[in-house]
Parts: sequence; C-alpha cells; structure tokens
Amino acid sequence: MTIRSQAGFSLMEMMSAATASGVIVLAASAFLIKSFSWMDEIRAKVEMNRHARETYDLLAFGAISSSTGKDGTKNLYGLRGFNNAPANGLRTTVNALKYTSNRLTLTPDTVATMTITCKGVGIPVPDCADNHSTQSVGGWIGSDIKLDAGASSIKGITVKVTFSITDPFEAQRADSPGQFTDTYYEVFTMNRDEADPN
Amino acid sequence: MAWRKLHKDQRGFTLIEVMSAALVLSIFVTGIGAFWIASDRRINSLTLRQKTIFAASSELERLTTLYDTTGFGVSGPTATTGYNEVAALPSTRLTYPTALSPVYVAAGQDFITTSASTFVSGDSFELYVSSNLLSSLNRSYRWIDKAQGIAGRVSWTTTALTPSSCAGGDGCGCLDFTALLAGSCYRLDLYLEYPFRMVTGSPVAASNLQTVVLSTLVGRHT
Repeated sequence: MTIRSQAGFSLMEMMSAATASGVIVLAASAFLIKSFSWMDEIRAKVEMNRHARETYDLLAFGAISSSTGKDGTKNLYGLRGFNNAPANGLRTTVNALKYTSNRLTLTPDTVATMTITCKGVGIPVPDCADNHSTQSVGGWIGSDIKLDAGASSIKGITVKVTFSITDPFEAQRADSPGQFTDTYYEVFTMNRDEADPN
Repeated sequence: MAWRKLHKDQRGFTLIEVMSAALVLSIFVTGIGAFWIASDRRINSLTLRQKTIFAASSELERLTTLYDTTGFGVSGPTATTGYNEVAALPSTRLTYPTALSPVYVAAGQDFITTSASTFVSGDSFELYVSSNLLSSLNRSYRWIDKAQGIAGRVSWTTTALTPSSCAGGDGCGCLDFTALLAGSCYRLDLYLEYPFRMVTGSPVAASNLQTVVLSTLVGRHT
C-alpha cells in the first residue's frame, strides 16, 4: 500500500495533465487580460460622460468666478445668458476647455500635457491630419468647439454648438480610437436682451 | 505512527484536485468577463441615453424659441397620428412641417429637409421629415449620435393653459400665438424616441425603442 502511494504519475500522465491544465489556464488568463481592457474602456466611457456633462453645463449655465468681471459681478454667463454668440475656439492650445464671459476665463479639466503621434486622419485624436505629425494634448476637448449663430438660427437668437469629447489616454492605445471620441450637437437660445459685458 | 503522520502531511494535492481547481478558477474568471461585458453594454446604453437627453434638450430649446418668438404656434406644426409603440404615451402628436414657412422664420433659417440623403450627408443639426401622401403619417427625425448613425424621432403635444391672472391681458405675457390678443400659454411635452437607424434612406426603429420626455411652458412673448 505504501509502495503504491509513492509510485507517482507516469510521464505521459503528467504531460497530458499539464497540457490540459495549460489550455484551461491559458484561456482563462487571456480572458482575464481582456477583462482588464474592458475595465479600462468602461472607465474611459464613464469619464467621457462626466466631461461631456461638465462641458454642457458650463456652456449652458456658465459658472461663478472668484474674481469680479466687467459688469461688477462674478458671473461667467452661459450661452443662454449671452446676447451674441462668442467666437469659435473655446479651448486652449492643448485642447482643454477654455470659456470666457464677462472678461473672466475658466479653464477646467486639464491634464498633464502629453504628446500624441498621429496615425492617420482623425486617428487617434480628431485633430490628426496625417500619419506622422504629433499633437500636444492636455485636455478633453477633441475638436475645436464650433458655434454657429448664422445659418438656421431662429430669429438670430439660437446658436448651434458642436463639441466633442476625446479620452486622450485610451484613444492612443485603442484598436478603434473612434469609440473614445463622442460628438454632441446642441442648440442653445441666447436670452440676453442687453449687450454682453465683453 | 509518527512516520505515517509525516508521510500523510507530505501528500499535497492530487492531480485531479489541481485540475478541478484550475477548472473552477476558469469558470470564475469567465464569470468576471461576463460581468465586464454586461457593464460595457450598460455604460454604452447610458451614454446613448445621455446623448439623447442632450439632443432632446436642444430640440426643446429650438421649439421653445419657435413658439415664443414666432407665430409657429398658430398653425405651424403638422398634426400626426399612429404613435402606438408605447401605450402610455399619446398616439396623436404634433411634428415639424415639411418646411418652415417664411411666415415664421426667414427662408435661410429653415433647418428642415425632406431629403434622406441631405439628412445623412448634410449639417448635423438638420431635421428630417419623412413626408407621406397623408401628412398625418409624417414623422420627424434628428441625429443623436451621427458618428454611429443613431437618430431619434421627434414629436410633441401641446396643452393650452389659461391662467386666471392672464385673463384680460393684464401683462402676464401670455399673448396668443398671433401676438395680437391676450391668449393662453401651452404646456409642451416633447417626445424623443430612439434608437433609429437610416437603412436605405428610411429610418428604422430598433426593437428596444425608448423614449425621453421633456416638458416646458411656452407662450408668445411679444
């Protein structure tokens, strides 16, 4: 009985068992690694949602500054509090949101500036125009925020606003970077009767 | 006895035990993967809903301005029927006409198209009105996520409100929509149903059609 229990396994048994276990563990670990990339993707989309909401809120409702603006208040007016739509370009040179109203400027949502190598037109970030140049990115605004208060503006007081949110971290390493850019098409009504305190 | 105890302690796991453990671990890991897949679907669905809410908010803003600053409320909208997808919501609604009359807005301010190809390739803010022989079957659509080809169907209902303080034109601001006499304000309920996809020039509803409803009050200002 003792001799039998010490016999161990044959080489064939060991090799078969190792192969079978290897296949199972390999499949499981591949799935585990893929799970990590799913987790990153989900985290990126949640982040993008948050930045889209913040951008929308700032454009629609404005904000309060710590210093005083031209009209003596601390209000950065949202587009709904404008008389005339501001010009395009509500972002910094490194793609962070930059909103100016009442001679006050807010630049929320910045990240440490990174250099992104372009792989094609719009790949991995919307500003890319070729497959070799680089982009300096330090924020979440993908394309330049575009405002159009001309064509199809109702009574000249509605403004069409196009903004896109890009996750620069995920877009660089994703197989399909397009899913890490979301574009929003908004219409705001500018309700201010008097001139803007620009 | 001591030798037997020592020998027993050194046995370790059998091959079968190790393989069973690997199998159980694999099932566990696969379960985690399924969790992430479910989470991804849920996040995508929530992202689309947020986009739809933003789109509905935009559309409500545009409609409010049309009702408040133009005579659109008089006879601008087209009365449509047959919205039977959700029993709890009205089956008779208003929607955009095939073109915004210059009576309400200047010709250049018309953002409506009856061409599916213009809707697909044109300005992302265009509204597509699929026009039928019976105008009561017309439907209006706008983009929710153009990059992914997802559109929503726009319709609304209005309910006349006549606050007693408005009687006699006492300056409460509720002129009627011809901007001539004291009248009533409307409660406007906007319905944006999604997702729709353009398939060979026609919007096709997904099987899991959802609706975002936003409401506001409108009335002709001056």
